[in-house]
This record gives sequence, C-alpha cells and structure tokens, in this order.
Amino acid sequence: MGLVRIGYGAAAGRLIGAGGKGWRRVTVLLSKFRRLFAGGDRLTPEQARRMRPRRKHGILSEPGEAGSTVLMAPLDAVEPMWSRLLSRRPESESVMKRFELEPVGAFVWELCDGKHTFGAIAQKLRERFKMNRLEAETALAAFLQTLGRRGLIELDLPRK
Amino acid sequence: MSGAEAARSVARASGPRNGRERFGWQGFQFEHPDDWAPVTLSGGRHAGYARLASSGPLACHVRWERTRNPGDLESRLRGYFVCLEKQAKGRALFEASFERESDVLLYRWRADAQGRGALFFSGACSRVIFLEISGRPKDSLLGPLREVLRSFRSGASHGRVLWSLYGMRLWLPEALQVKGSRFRSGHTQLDFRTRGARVEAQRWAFAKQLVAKHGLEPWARAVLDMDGAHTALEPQGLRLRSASAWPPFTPPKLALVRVEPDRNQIVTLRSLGRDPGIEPQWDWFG
Repeated sequence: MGLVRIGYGAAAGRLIGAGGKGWRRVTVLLSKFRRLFAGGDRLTPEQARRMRPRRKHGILSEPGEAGSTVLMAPLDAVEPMWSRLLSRRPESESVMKRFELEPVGAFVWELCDGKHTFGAIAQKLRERFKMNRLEAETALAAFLQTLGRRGLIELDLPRK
Repeated sequence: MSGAEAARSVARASGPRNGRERFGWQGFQFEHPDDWAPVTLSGGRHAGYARLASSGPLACHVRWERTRNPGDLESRLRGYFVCLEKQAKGRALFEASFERESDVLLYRWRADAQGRGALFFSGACSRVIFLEISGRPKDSLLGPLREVLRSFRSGASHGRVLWSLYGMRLWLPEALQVKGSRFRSGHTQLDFRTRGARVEAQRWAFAKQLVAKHGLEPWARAVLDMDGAHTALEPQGLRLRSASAWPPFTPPKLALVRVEPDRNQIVTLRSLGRDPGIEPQWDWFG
C-alpha cells in the first residue's frame, strides 16, 4: 500500500486572490468540510473558531522521520464507498492505508483531540511557528479539510 | 546621515509597539493590532482600496485617489454617503454625520452596520484618503480609528517607501511599483518594476522547517532559480550573484536572503536588471 503525503504550510491556502479573501476563505473551507459530514449552512467566523476537530477512532500513529508522523488507518474507514464496492475485498480482510504528515501537520494532528477548538489550534500554531493570524487560520482550515476528505478526522460542531 | 539611515531611523521612531503591526502599502502606512490582516488589496499608487480584517467584526478600510486639487472634501463625503445609503436601502435606516477637525473631516454612518472614518488630503503624496473603521452597531469604533489615524503616515521618506504586510517589511526605492503579487499562507510574493529593472520580494514562513533538511544555501538557490550563482555569507544574510547567462543580454541577477528567527521567516529580494540604483541593499530590509 502506497504512502500518501499530506502537506501543510507554505502555499496551503490562498489569503488574497482567486479562490477566496481572508476569513471568507477560512469559513468557506470549513463550511465545505462541515457539509461533507453533517450538511448545513455557511459558518460565521465565530462558529468556525469554536469547532473542535477530533481524530477518528481506529487510526494508529507512529513517529516518522525528522519529526513527521505516519498514520495508519483501516482502509474501510477512509475509503469511499464506491471504491469499496469495486474492490470486492472480503469483509474479513483488513487493509491499512498509510499517511505521512510532515512536522507541522503532525503538530496539528496531536491537537485534534476533540478538546481544542479551531481557534485554540490556530493560536498554538501562531505561538509555535510564529505565523500571523490569517495565515495560521487559512492554512489550518485547508489542512483540516484535507484530513476530513481523507476520512481521518471529524468535526464537533459548536452548539448554537 | 544617508537616505537609507534616515529611512531606518524613521522606521525605528515610528516602529510598531507591542502587540501591534505596521501595515505599509502603496506609499502609506499605519499601525494596527497584530490580529488584523489585509484581506483585500486592489488598485495602484494612483487610486486603490485596501481592507484589513480583525479576528472579530471590526474592519479597516482605506481608499485613496491621487489628485492635484482635492476640491471640496465635503461634497466627496456626501457622495460617499449617497452610495452607502443606496446599499443600505431596504435593510435599515441610514444615518450619517460629519464634523471638521482642522484639515480632517471626521464622519460616521450607521445602518445595519456602522462606520467611523476620516477623509483628508495628504499633501505628502497628493492623495485624497478615506480611512474608515467599520463594525456592528454596538461596537466602539472611535478608539481604533484614533489609534490608526495617530500612526498614519503617507509619502516617501528619503526616497524610500515602506511595504509591510504579512511579516514582510521592506523599505524600497519610490520608483518601484507593484506589478504582481501572490498571497498564500506561508508565502508572500510581490513583484516590483521600474524602467529597465525588476525586483522580486518574497517572504516564507516556517523558516526553521524549510531549511532543516538541506540548509539555507541550497534552499535559496532552488527557490530563487540561481543554481550557478556565486554566494557569499555576510553578517546580515546570504548574497547570491549570477552573471549574465544564456541567452545573450540576459540581465544579471542579484539576490539577498535574510533569515529572521524571531518571526521564523525568510525574506528574499532578487533583482534583474542593469540599473545599480535598483540592486537590493541590506538596508532595504526594515
């Protein structure tokens, strides 16, 4: 099974220009992510900051090279349904899919515990990697969306 | 004192205080809280618009227009109120008022949102400038507006103009004008041009992580596309120079690379051209 590398950091999300402007970009990314799981309307920035990303159960992680983290997820959990049906794999067979997160991504992964909100993770990113606010939030939103699309995390939505 | 030293002393004297950043764009600059960031930048030196958003509902808007004769500022302001009223029509009752404080018109408007701003003519850069803070009806805007107005400067200082955003902070010759830009998370790029010369400024976040594997020099050669360049490590950073190459008459390239560990970022300046006045200098870094 091949290794999928999930990048973080430089050029993770556009701040100004085609595709989005600042916070609108952040909320659009998170709203898309939210719709993948729960459906719903566009989020306000305040709602987006209160979301709590959580690692899915059954995903194993181990340290990789130079501060990276390797995730191993059961294929059934992260594979789309159409792919599962086409593969005709017996249900008893358990196959793991591997993902590699670079050091910044690994740092975020550790914080996806269902306790830290999006805003708190962005703040920790700012402190640890000395990023500016918009940069940290845009990159974090894009990264969480990638993790969500891969079926590695879930988002706990804020209560109204 | 040389022009460059003077520019630096101005930068120090007007340098940002704790928890505040300085935004510099198209010949004007002001201080803002460090959680504000530019989210819209359009136009050029003659006319344009910039919007900075806070992490909350507050936003700062700057509009500028070059003119030799500012004319009647009050009629400009009334025209602006008419535009706002049209936008607010059907949603909320629109109210607006203004007062004159020396050469500045201080105004406020209120509909389903509210704004407080100042309209003035800056003789230093011959531009009429609207500076406005907007927010929800219950937000207090006077304090932030006064703070921004107090630190607002426009025009060149000893032939240099401050370009400061997303951690990039450069004092560049006034002749250089932005012709292209790229704003991505972790990477900011501004392309400047003047007659016969080009300067490219880049800012990279995650400096420590970027150079951890291969080191600064190979990283800089790859990023700046200067494989065969001669490099010299200087106290301020790395200097790369490549002579004219194939095809003939290709202008020489000179690049300066500075690592800023306190911001975990790398700022690079690369010039293409034969004009020695446009070759990057260390004192261009703010």
